[in-house]
Amino acid sequence: MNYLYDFVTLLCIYSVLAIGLNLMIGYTGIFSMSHAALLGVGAYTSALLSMKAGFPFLVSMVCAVIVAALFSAIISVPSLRIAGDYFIVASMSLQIIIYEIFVTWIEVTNGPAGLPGIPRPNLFGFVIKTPQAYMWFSIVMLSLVVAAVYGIIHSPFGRVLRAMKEDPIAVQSLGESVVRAKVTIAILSSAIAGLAGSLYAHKMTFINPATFDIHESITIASMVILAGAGRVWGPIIGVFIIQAFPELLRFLEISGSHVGSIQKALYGLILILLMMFRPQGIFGKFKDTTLGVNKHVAKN
Amino acid sequence: MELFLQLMVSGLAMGSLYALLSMGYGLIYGTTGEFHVAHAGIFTFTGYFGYIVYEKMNLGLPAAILIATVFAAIMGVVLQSAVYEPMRRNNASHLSIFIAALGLMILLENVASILWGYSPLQFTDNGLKKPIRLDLFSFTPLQLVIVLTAAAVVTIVLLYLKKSRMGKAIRGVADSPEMAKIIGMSPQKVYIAVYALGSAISAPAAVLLAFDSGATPYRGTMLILLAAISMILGGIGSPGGAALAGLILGLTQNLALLFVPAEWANIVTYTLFLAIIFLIPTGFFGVKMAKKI
Repeated sequence: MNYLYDFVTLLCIYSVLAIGLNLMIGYTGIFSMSHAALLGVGAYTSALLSMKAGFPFLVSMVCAVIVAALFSAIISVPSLRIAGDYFIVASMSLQIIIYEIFVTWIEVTNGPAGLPGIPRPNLFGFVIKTPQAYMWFSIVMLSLVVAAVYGIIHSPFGRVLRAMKEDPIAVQSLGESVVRAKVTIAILSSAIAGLAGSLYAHKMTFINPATFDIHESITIASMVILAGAGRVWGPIIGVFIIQAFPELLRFLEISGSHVGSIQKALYGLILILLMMFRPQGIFGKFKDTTLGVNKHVAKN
Repeated sequence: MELFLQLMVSGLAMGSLYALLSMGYGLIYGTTGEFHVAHAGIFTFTGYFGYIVYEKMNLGLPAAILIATVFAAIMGVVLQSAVYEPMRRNNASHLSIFIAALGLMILLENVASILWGYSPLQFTDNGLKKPIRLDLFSFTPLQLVIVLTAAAVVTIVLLYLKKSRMGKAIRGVADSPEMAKIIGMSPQKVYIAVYALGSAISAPAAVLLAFDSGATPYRGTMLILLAAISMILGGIGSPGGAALAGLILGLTQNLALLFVPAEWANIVTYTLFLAIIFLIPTGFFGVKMAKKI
């Protein structure tokens, strides 16, 4: 039974991350390659603050959110001013830099060996210890994030985002700042990644850099795209499919040293086929204007 | 001084490899505007193909480079015609094409890992890696071969782009595909040529890098980041600029060791590159202005 609780808990944590990333990829058309690193920033910040500085869980979590948002602001503010693929390059660089810091700054992060002994969350004297309790805790957190994102999407700001994806120049001419909207979304999305990182660290009680490398960033983005970017529920289904995939391979009795590679090769193939034949994702609305900006806008 | 010269030598060799990687990538991006990250997947496969020609067929290094280059060009054309061309026809957004390219890169990397294993395949040395010592520094014949190959390829490609009919067509389509169509050129043909040429330019670097440090499956993401950074630094739409910026990147990565401990060198250099891109988004030799919005 604990296996199921752990599965659902991780499903919820990665859904939080994917829903945050969907704000960028699905609603705004910005592709981030650094969300695994930002998850890591949240995880390390929260873990280190509660272990070394003795901060209470909630304070560590809030700090994790803020620090992840700050890291993303460093690249978002300069690079989203420039259109084109600058943000992809900037976020890839950020991913590499943060990952290298996790590995290299051994005095603080303990390097590739990782950080063991992260305490369980303590909420006003109640310690969330059992897998079942942590599952409910992560379900509550996921619900809060879904509610918040739903609120944003259906606010006037959400309408600006949608309009911006269709035609940024028209939005600009109505006096809305496209750059400011994009930067806001990037920072918000990274703050949510920081939250997911904090939840992850205190669930696993052990973190190491391998969980936060660039291939993880790509996997997380695949989760968002798979089921349908630009829908509130899409990422959760995507996370479920990708989390359940290894189990399916085990069921099909594909095993040995190549399991990881076969799995990743299939993700790659699925991404290609999706983009060629169903860019709106498996469950996306059929007449959705696909991902990103229209071609003629991007060309100018 | 000796350390400086030694780092210059290894920086020049590494920079020459980056120059070819970035020039090929920059030519494709500059002409099509497509973020073809699968370039790194082709690069990975080319290294393995060089290994097969050199080790299994015993044809020697020059033949390995030539045959692998032809193979890379074919692979570039196949990917463009099978994946990008149909997407272009459906008016897919650039983001969708980028995600498909990302999928291609993941697919190619992992297929390479399934076919040839996770650990690097080492080439048997034919004496090229034996250092030649001079008074102040030493170098290997391989480093000399790398620098000369890169210089030759860059010169030939720049001349080809400037003088040949196809070279002019490529520059025309890069400027405006619509205009090129109006005067009766076929952008499709140009796109095929660009994917073939771009993949071929980077191929010698792929084989030489594999010869130097073994063919491995998962180097791609790092290499495509380097290529993208050099392309921006060199100015999008300027293949020569991309090559020069690649050379500078390789030199910087090595010379950084004079100032920072080896384990921090990567962090410092990438932060530096990122800062420069933000400060000068048009790059040093930019032909096209950076797009606003």
